[in-house]
Amino acid sequence: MKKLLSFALAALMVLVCVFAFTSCGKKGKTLDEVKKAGELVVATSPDFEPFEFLDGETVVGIEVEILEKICEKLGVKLTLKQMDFDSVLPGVTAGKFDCGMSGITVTESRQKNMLFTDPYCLAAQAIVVKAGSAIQSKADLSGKKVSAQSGTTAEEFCMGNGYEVLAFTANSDAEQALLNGNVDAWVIDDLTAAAMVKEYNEGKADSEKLVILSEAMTTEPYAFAFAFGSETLVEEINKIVKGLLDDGTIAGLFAKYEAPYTAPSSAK
Amino acid sequence: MSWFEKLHETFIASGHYKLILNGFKNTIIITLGALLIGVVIGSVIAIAKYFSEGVPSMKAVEVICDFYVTVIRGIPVVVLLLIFYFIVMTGAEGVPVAILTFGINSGAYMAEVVRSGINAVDKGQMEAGRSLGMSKLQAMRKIVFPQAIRNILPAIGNEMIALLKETSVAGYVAVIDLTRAGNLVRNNTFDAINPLMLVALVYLVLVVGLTRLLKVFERKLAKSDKRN
Repeated sequence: MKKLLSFALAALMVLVCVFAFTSCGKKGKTLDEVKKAGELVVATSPDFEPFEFLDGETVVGIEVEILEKICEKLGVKLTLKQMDFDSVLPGVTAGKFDCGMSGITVTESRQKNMLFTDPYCLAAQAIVVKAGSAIQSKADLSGKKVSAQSGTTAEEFCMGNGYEVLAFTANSDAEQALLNGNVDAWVIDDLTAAAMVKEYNEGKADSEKLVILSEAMTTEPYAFAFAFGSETLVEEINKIVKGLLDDGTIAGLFAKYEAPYTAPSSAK
Repeated sequence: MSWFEKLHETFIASGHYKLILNGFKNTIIITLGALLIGVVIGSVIAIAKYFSEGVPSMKAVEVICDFYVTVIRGIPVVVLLLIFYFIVMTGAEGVPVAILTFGINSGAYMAEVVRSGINAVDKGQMEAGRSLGMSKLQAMRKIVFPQAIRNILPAIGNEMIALLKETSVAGYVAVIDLTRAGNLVRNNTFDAINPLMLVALVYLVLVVGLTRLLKVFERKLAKSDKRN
């Protein structure tokens, strides 16, 4: 038995070392590599209306259309891979996918571990509560239970503020937890909150509705994520994004999905 | 950065080892709680089935037991967990829901294991007990069941190991178990490798420990076995 145990441990150690060494290299694809492959493989969690969501079985949304335009300009095919949000960023940094697209907020800690394109819009964290809740502002949240999607900046924000966080793989589960009374509030990016709450509130009496508190708590610049090594690719995409921002294409897409648009330049 | 520096950064410097410890605690609590529920449910169902089989007046008991085992074995445990969390026990905390769900799930498998153990004990044992003036339940408790347990200990060990590993899906209902804790560390440090390997190692060590514990039990129970 002891022999078996030590053998298993040794085997695992070897495995760890092998992984640790292989992971040191740069995982991202260069511009040339993507062009040669003829496709950009994009990881996404399509539960983030209006940025990416399912229409039937196709993923649609603002970000999908932006990336389609980018891929068109690069002359490659857009290939979407669907997964839970908490698999998107690790998948990108591990080089399993070329790009991450999921309303990804650029944060300092994320920037240390991956590349981002220039942001194309600004969002904020919003608090969603049931109608008639005692929570009316961020200050009321301390010591309360809050739901969020796991791996998101909403989760990070709640943990950073010391709230008791229940993290779910899907935003719809985080919403259901609020409705079921598992939590007192649900924290999520504002544009998606607006879309999901609008859908839920439809045809309900005022007392049963969900309410989005108007206080904007953070500034969340959205961008697309790439692994280190994709510098040339990101540079090229930045040029295309700038073009799409300047000619109003991106603002137009927000209008198409009935979402208020905040340009990234208004941050400074 | 050397591997050890990376380990230090991922777990110690960031304070994330506390998350892992808390996750470990939850995994153990859920596993032990569910095991207890599973063993009790499994034994009750198995004994009820043993007595009700072929007895017309106890048809209802047999049907209920069969229904339970069929339904629970037919639903993946993740789906069952989500059903319990979002539909059955709305408003309840994640850990109790997980304990109950995994317990109920495990109970269905335990029931079949225990039943096979009881059936493997010679019918003459029950008859001998009855002829000594014991009631059916007494004979079951004092004669048949202890022999059944000895026979099925390896199978129960299997079920325990499966249960321990099944609890890794508790993260679906916002429980920070060992797996979810590892994922949290992965998401916050972007170290894709070490948290996963650590979590795997902890499960492996737990299972090896469990296996050894069972071996000790088996040896103890085998002492009274004249067949050896």
